[in-house]
Amino acid sequence: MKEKIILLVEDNPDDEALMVRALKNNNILNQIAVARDGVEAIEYLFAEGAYAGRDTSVVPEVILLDLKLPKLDGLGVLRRLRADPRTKLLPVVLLTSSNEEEDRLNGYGLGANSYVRKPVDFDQFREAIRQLSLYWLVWNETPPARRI
Amino acid sequence: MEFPRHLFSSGGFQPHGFCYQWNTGLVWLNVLSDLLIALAYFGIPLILLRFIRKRKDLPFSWIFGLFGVFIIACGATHLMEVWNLWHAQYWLAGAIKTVTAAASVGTAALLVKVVPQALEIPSARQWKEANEALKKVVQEHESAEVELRLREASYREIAELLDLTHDAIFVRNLENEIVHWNEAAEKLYGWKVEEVRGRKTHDVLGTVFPKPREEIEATLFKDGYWEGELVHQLRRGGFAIVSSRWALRTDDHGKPAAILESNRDITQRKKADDELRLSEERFRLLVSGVRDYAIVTLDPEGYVTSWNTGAERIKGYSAEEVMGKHFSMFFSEEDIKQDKAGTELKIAIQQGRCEEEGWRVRKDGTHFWASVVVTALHNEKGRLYGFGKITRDITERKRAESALARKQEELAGSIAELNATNKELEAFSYSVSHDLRAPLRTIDGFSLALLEDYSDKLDAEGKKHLDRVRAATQKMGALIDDLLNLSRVTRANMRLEKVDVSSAAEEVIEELQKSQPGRRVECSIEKGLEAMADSHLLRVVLVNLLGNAWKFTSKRDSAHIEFGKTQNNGSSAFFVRDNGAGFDPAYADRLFGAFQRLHAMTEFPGTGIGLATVQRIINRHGGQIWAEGQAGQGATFYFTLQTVNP
Repeated sequence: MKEKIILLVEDNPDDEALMVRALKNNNILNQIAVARDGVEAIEYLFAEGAYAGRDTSVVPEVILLDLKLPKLDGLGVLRRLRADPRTKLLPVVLLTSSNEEEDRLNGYGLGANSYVRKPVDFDQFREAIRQLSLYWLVWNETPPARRI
Repeated sequence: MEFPRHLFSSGGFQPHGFCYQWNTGLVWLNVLSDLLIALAYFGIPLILLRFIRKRKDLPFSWIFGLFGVFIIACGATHLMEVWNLWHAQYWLAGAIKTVTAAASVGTAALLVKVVPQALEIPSARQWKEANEALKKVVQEHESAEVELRLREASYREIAELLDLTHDAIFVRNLENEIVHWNEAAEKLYGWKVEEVRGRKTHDVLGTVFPKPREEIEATLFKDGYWEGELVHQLRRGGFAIVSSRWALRTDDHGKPAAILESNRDITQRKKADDELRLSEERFRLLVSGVRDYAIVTLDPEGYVTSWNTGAERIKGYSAEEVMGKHFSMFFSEEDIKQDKAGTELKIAIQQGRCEEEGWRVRKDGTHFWASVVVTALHNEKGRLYGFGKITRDITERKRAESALARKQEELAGSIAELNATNKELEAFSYSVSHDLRAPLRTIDGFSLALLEDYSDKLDAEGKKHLDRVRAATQKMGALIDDLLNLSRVTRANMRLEKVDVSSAAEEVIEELQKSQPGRRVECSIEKGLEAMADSHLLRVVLVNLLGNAWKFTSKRDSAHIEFGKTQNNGSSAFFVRDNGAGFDPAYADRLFGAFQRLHAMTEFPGTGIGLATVQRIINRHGGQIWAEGQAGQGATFYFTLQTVNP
């Protein structure tokens, strides 16, 4: 059985560290792939550029996608994923600081599966990550795999 | 006696011829003459007899008998003369003469008696004349009768004809008594002809004359004709105005005989005429009295035909000065060169009207900005008979419009600036919401990491410091959220609708109760209150005000919150009242400022942004908000919204 990978798209190293810490604290030991901007996320997923040659049979169980990203923002990434048949059904959770209605509307409009606002309080953040991981990695059944 | 004896004897006398000495010539002269006389005398009675027989009607016919006897006797005497020439029977002759004498004397005597009577018998000529006269009389009589019959027939015909007309026609005699009136008269006046025949016309109709009746009748008798308008009373009540024509009828001798009166009911037309005249008069007065508009009429060539007060006031010319002048005189020289006036008329003819604005010149040479409407006027046949022209002096408005246009331009600039600022603000808000929170999460996260991973290396004091760092971080997070809310209520689109305010308040209270199930707060909410508001923003207001009441009564044993509506200075206001901590009225004006707090953080937590947000929402609804309270004695917050029109 293939390893269940989580793709985290996050430009802030602090948030990345906290995320990793939160996952570890919750005993989630899956491999975490990190892309630090939107373009990198796309390249990773489609095995292009720096990720050319990556084994595309390894598909993330879920993508935790920040909205505010360098180069290509989160909504741009989402749009690209949903436009491509290979990634069209990939679960994407928007994980962001913003609570703007506009962002929520656009996110769901472009086909996000979930929208979670990162709490300032780390206790709450950790709890949110625990529940998210449990849900997407354990309980959620992904659509049948497609070759990327 | 000797006589009878000697009657037929000659008695010894010599025959009469003897006296003539038997002169043959003389004897035969007497014989022939006497024979002829006797023949004639015997003939005449025969003729007379025949005459009498034929004319049995002759008066005094017996006299003819007498004549006959007397003439026959005369004849006999002459016959005796012839006889006695040869026979001397003079006695017989004397006897015959006696008879003749008797007949003659008798006839003469009778004639004397009869002549006066006979004189009275008209002569044949007289008879003839009399006869002719009589004949003439008879003829005249007959022709008169025929004429009468004809006339009667034609009268009947005329009467029938009269009944055909719609005009009320009647004939009255010189005593003004009605002789005949037609069906139209019956219909108009309501009287049957039998009911009015012989009655005085003007009594029946109560005629009102336009001038003394004597004058009218004088005209009638002088000219044989009169016409004018009369007012007649109707049997059913009311009156009719009639156009009346009187004609005098004369008899064959030219003497006045009757008056024919024909009346046409013009009441309706008159009324319509009166109304039209009145309305025209009113319209004329209206037009002439209008001061704010120059109302002018032009003939088809553009020459002024009427000029009202407004025109006088706006253009400075009196009516006398412009009547008959061409209206191009109100244009500037340049416009005259371009024949703007002619163009206006052309457009009005082509399109029915011409509307335009432009500079016009007053009498004193000053200019004014005119709003002009020229309307082509056509008669019923569609022929152009002139133009109506209404001009307003809108110089002031023009100035105001120019000023307004400038202001609008400025405003447009300001709005553009404002929009740019708003964009920046939005970007700023977005940045705040996204970027300012991220470091806070880092601070909090790593503080907690320190506490968890390095707790053995930190003493109690160090851990306490880290707790403060975390608390400050979370407060900062709350502040950022509230600030974002404040900016959001300013930017959010508003959609006004009818909102059940009471229900919204109940829901908020329920939520507060759920969040702190342990608290006992007595809440009374007035039912059925409604307002025109944005439901989402109104909810933010209630969450803040009721939330505050909930929070500031937290230290009360018997907390009480009341929501309702009250009359305040003639307008109705919603209110939220509590018996909580209240506030010092000296600082009431600071209540609604952002980040303003009247209580210590330790006593009642909060960011000081809630009431600022509430005020902004109420202001955006065009309402007002104010508060009353005393420190320690609770507070009441009032706010107004547009009420729902009943």
